[in-house]
Amino acid sequence: MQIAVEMVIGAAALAGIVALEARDLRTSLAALALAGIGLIVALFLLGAIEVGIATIMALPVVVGLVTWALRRTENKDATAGIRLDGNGLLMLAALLAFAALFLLVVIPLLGPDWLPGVPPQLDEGPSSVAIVREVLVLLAAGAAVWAMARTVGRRNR
Amino acid sequence: MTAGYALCMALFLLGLYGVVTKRHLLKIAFGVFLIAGAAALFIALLGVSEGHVGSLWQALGLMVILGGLAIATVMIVTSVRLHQRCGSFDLDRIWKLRG
Repeated sequence: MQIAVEMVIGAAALAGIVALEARDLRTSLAALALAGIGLIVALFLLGAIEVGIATIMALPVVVGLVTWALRRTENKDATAGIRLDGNGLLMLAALLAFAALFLLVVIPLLGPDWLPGVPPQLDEGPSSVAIVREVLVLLAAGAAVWAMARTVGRRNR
Repeated sequence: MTAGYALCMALFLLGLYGVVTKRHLLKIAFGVFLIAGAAALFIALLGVSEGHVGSLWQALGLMVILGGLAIATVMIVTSVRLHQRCGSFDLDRIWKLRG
């Protein structure tokens, strides 16, 4: 059962990648619907029946609305692909930093066996992972302040 | 179930990637929906770790899914209105047309 749930979540994640990266919006919508079906199956396998039923009700609303939107507008995504200019690279770097920070913060909460020594014992002093976590927090805070200051400066100009 | 947690986090980060890096308004709404789905799944997994998904976890999951649905719905309808006004779903183009 556990393997089945993990496989379904993995398939939903793959469908999510297609949904975000496809140029044709109908393909993208079909992939999103597949990801939603994967989520529903995983929720039912886990025994979260009410959440599964809510997702069953939510998915057709999103798919129907997007179909309506595509019928009234356009089917192609001209903006697909990753921009590799300064802002695009900065965004990707910020996202990767957030992902690393997020994993470092969440992993210790899931169990003591994932990363030994996290969280550190009081008498041992901070571990190397804890130091990396603190540095990442400071870097993320600095990047956020810099981004806000930059936006305000541009707006004033 | 630790791989399940990791896959949930991957799905969440994928949705976040869509929200942060995409310029197409509908793709951003897709990202929001993926984030909500991943969060609901994560809550269900936390419930399973206690033995079964109790009513508290179910209520939390319901709230997350319906919140994500509400945000995605408003985003899609607003995107269509913006497209009718500006002729594009591209955030950069809409931003340049402002004023």
